[in-house]
Amino acid sequence: MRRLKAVLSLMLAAEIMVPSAMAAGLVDPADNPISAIKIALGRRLFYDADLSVNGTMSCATCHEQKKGFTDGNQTHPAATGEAGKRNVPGLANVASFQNLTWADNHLKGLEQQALIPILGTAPVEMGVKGHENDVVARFATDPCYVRLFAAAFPGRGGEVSLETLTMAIASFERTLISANSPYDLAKRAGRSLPSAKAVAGEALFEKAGCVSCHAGENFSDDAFHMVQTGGVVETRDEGLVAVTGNPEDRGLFRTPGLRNVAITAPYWHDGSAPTLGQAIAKHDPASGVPALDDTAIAELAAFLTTLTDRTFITDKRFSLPPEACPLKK
Amino acid sequence: MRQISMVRFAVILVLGWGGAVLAQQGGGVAPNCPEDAIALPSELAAWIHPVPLVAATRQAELRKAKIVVGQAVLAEMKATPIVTYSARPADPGGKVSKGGMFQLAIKQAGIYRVAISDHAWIDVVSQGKNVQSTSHGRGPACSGIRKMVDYRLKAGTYTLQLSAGEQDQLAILVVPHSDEGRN
Repeated sequence: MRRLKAVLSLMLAAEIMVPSAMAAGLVDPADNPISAIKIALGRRLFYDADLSVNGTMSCATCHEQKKGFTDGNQTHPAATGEAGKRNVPGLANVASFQNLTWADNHLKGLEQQALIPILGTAPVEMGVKGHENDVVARFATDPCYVRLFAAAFPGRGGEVSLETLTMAIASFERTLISANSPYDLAKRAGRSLPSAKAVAGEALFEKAGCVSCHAGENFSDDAFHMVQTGGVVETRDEGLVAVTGNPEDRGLFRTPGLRNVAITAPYWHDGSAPTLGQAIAKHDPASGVPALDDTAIAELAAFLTTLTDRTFITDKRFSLPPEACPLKK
Repeated sequence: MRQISMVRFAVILVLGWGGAVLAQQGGGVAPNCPEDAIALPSELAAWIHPVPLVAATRQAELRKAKIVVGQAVLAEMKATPIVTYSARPADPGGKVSKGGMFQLAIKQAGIYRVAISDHAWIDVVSQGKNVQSTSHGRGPACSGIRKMVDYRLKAGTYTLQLSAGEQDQLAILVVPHSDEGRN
């Protein structure tokens, strides 16, 4: 508890406070302890396109704050132009998930996940594989970054490496906490949701069994399921089996969280559902999800819209940082 | 000044933007060019006749970097570190990326479409502030148009900023969209 208080005090000093309701849930891993300066460094890196092979793509290129840290595209091409594979997931409360990305149960934490877009080849995203030294050198020769790494990693002599880069990015991502949607405010105040349609949608969300997978405070059970119509037959993406090699994992994808879902279209792992209504209707009745009429879908959509956290998508602490170096000489 | 290669643009046009750059903003399956080619709509007909232009690196150079509505240009882009943008781009691009600025005069209010040949971030700036785009998408299959972004603009002078690009040269066309803007 004393450590958490110290962390929160550091974050306050750096204007990186988290909503009090979520403070107790702040993830602070022992092997990458969070600090204000590491968060500030991670934020700068998150928005820096020098982290891609040709300087054209930062983390924020695909994870736009105003869209709940998604990008509005079905998939996003690589920095080098190759086609994207899956829809960009939002980052609200991303530190709360054990399974990261759409279909991978082997990644151990946000540090390891950050290497997927940076170094990945299936698909290529930021295209750094084979250019690691060149990319790291951009930061190791930048006076501002040298100061930031020295302050963020004093025990490692200010080491600038892919490992410390991703540790800093992960620290920033752990602060991306969304807990002030109309839904949250209503629950904390003991009020009902803001419209009758949303109230009906919330009841239906439980009655129809949506909550069996979209469970918990992030509306995801963090587990893998196959609920798409046609199963694996209609998809070009085999899902979890690509990582595990287990044939039983074919067509399985992680339940996406639903926070800010109304502003993160298009939907599903392949971005194949352009609207919230289409995303709901795309669930296969054969997988146990009941068929829903238009009224029911509209009610569910009204409920899901109450999960949009405007403070999260406008919070300056999560935005493109000022150009000036946060640490003076 | 290095001569801009119109031959290269012609190759891009014929092949779509083939090979490694077939993927387009918005995702989906890359078209098989030229079999999947879609004819340019009439509003984008000028795309195939670009004239050379050099991007401005600072405001004082903007009067020499004018983009005329309805006239495509093949622009020489500049290294990001030497570009001083009128307003900070939403996606600034890294040190090794390319960017630049252009002056854009709008005579009649309406929706205008900015089409470019490769990936880059587009900002339309008025009085130091970025104008919010109204929609974005990709160009017709195999047209050589990689990305199109629409803006609702009033009559006046704007700065068109391109950032986080990769190529030394970028084809650009600004046109009125859906009869709403006429210049």
